[in-house]
Amino acid sequence: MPLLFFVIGLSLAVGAEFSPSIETYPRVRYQPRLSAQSILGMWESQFKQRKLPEKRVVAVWGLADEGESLSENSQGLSLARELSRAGAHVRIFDPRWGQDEAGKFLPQAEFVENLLSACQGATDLVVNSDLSLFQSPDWEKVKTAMKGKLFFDCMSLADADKVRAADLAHFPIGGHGWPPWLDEEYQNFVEILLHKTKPQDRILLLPSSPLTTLSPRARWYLLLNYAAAPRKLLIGGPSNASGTAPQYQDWVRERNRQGKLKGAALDSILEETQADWILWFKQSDDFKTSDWQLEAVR
Amino acid sequence: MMGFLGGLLVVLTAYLAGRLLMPNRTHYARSRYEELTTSILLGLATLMTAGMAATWALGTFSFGIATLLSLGFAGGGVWRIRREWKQAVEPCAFPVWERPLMLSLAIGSVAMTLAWPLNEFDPILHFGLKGKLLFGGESIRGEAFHALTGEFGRIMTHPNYPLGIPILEAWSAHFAGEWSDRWIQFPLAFWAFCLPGAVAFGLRRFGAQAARRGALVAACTPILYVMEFLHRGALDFAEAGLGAEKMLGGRGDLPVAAFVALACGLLLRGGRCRFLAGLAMTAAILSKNEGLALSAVLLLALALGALWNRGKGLKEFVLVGSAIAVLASPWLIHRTTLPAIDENYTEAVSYETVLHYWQEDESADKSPIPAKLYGEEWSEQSHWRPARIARYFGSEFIDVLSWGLLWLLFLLGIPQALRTPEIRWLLLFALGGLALYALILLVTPWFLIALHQKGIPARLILHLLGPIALLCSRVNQPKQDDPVH
Repeated sequence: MPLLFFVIGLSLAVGAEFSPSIETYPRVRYQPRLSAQSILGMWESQFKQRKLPEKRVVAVWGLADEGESLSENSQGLSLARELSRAGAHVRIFDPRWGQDEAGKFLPQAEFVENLLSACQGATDLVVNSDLSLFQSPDWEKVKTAMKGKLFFDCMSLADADKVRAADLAHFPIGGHGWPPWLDEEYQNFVEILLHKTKPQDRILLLPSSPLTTLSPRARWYLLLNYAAAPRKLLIGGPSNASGTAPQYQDWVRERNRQGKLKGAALDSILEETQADWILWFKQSDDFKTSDWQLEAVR
Repeated sequence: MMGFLGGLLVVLTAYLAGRLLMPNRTHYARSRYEELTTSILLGLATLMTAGMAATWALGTFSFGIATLLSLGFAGGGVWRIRREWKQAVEPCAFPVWERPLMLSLAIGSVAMTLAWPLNEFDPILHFGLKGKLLFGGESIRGEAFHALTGEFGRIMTHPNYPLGIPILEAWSAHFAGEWSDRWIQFPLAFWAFCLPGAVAFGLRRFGAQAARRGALVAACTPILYVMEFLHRGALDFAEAGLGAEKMLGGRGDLPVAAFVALACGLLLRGGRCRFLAGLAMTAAILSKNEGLALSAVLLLALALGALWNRGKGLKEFVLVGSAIAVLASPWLIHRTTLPAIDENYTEAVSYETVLHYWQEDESADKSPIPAKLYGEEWSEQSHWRPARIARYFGSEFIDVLSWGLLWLLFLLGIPQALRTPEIRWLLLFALGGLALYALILLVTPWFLIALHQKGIPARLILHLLGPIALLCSRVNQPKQDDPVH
């Protein structure tokens, strides 16, 4: 078995020219049951049990991936079945299969004819398939049709900026198959940071707006600290910021309680830390260069 | 190119340092394979220990220190090689048809390590950052390593992790003149290659067949390279070497396993090797905090083994204990000054905590995500930690994709190990190590299921691969063949 691992692993490395990139990683094949549990857990944590699954109307786009045939175990269908079993009203649109083909697997589900009909009055949207049709719809129209705003993106293929611009709450629960340091925008930003600052500089990291996610993937400052070394990155509450995922979650709450630093308080911190730069950031698990602003202090 | 040369130079220096310390060929028989692998491991242990001592004394790990130490060790190694040039070595223990297998595993493990640059969370953030700071000239007494407890300060995950691996990385970077995420791993690419050789060196005392069997058992255990490969079927093919299931690379677990295997192998050889076993355990301490706990368990096992054997073997306890006390002291003293922001098991292991988790179920308070999202593992199983730990350990023992038949062989070997005085301490160490990790998991301040999902029980038990391979191969030996000292 180790030999098999070496042969396959080294072939993969040769194919990627020994340099990992986002493309090196296969897209995550999510587990329907875990994804359904994520959605149920999210409802519970978001609404503190007030909105039970029975009160949710879930628009489900897609039952299986491009090129796949429909079966009882198709991943999109399985997820829809889990949500339906939990008590949610599931409304499905898939251009390939309707009531006749998929109804026998999902007796409680409603089947509709297009994207927007599925969203009409829905509290949640779940994208379950990699069909190109589902990747860039008119998100404004989707939001207008929906009653709620939760969008569970099992494929992680939607453009997060456009989704957020339409005021939908985007939860990419399919997860990223690739590690955050391979993010191209992050890598470009590192280049900019290294170019603009000197190796001996001290850079103070400050959130420019309330921190909005507890996702450990949003800890870009950990990666920047490594990539920018020997530049000295400084942060408020370094102990919890550097700690494990639960400590990081405490750190987010702490920072939000303290609010944005400004005026005399900011001057005092700058004096204390001897910072040469402030790196203002908005927190997100998707790295956006526009979320990071470098400001010279002296 | 410079990165490659820098890394290569460190490995060469390590080999020469190891050769300097290896006992002579006449009294401690070995094949060239055993000598090469044991020397590299011993040399890496020496570089880590000497590098830590120098860094502690001077505050920084500079190019000057790296060069001076390298010249000293390399010079000594060359002198030793010249002196022993004509001394004979034992023939290779492997029949011709097994050699390609061992060679492929050795080359494969080194190539697989270097095929990617640092590409995982722990190697980058727990170890790589510290190495980069040392390379950049930061003082280990300065704010980079200490300023984590104030209102504003520096960023560092696990600040109280030992500096052995970062020192090796910085060493490579110094010789290369640059930090390369790929080539600073060069000295870290040899753990899986050398561990089976160290096992064979220890077993050579019982003959060539024992050495051969020990090396094969260790080298063919999949978790030495990868954990649960093919567990997810086709996805593992598509992601081979990209995920965190890979054991190779800049992590701390494989070096601990390699140094523990080396220490046990050296202890089996006895004589001057016993002091070197202390050096190997020091290197385990310098690789990961678990090395310290394992050192205590080893000393306890040696002491109990000596009591069992009516005092025979007490010298091992004294020599190993003294060596660790002296060689590890720079790190242990420095460690007391470091902030323990997220991992402090010396405080966690208390009677109250043990009693708490023994009597009460684990709550979901520490779960990083809603516990419900862990599915069946949370909802359909007992929340009593001892039961959960027993289940995790049990599932490891039968996980053939990670461990092959190692645990079965171990289980079958226990009765005979109890009857064999010279290896009772090894059995006590293996069982003590398992008990230690069960205790650590019992009192861990983190959510146990989350740790399990990170492969924590398997990564901890990996540290015991060497002693278990030694024990299995010794007790399953049909008869003592051509024993040597």
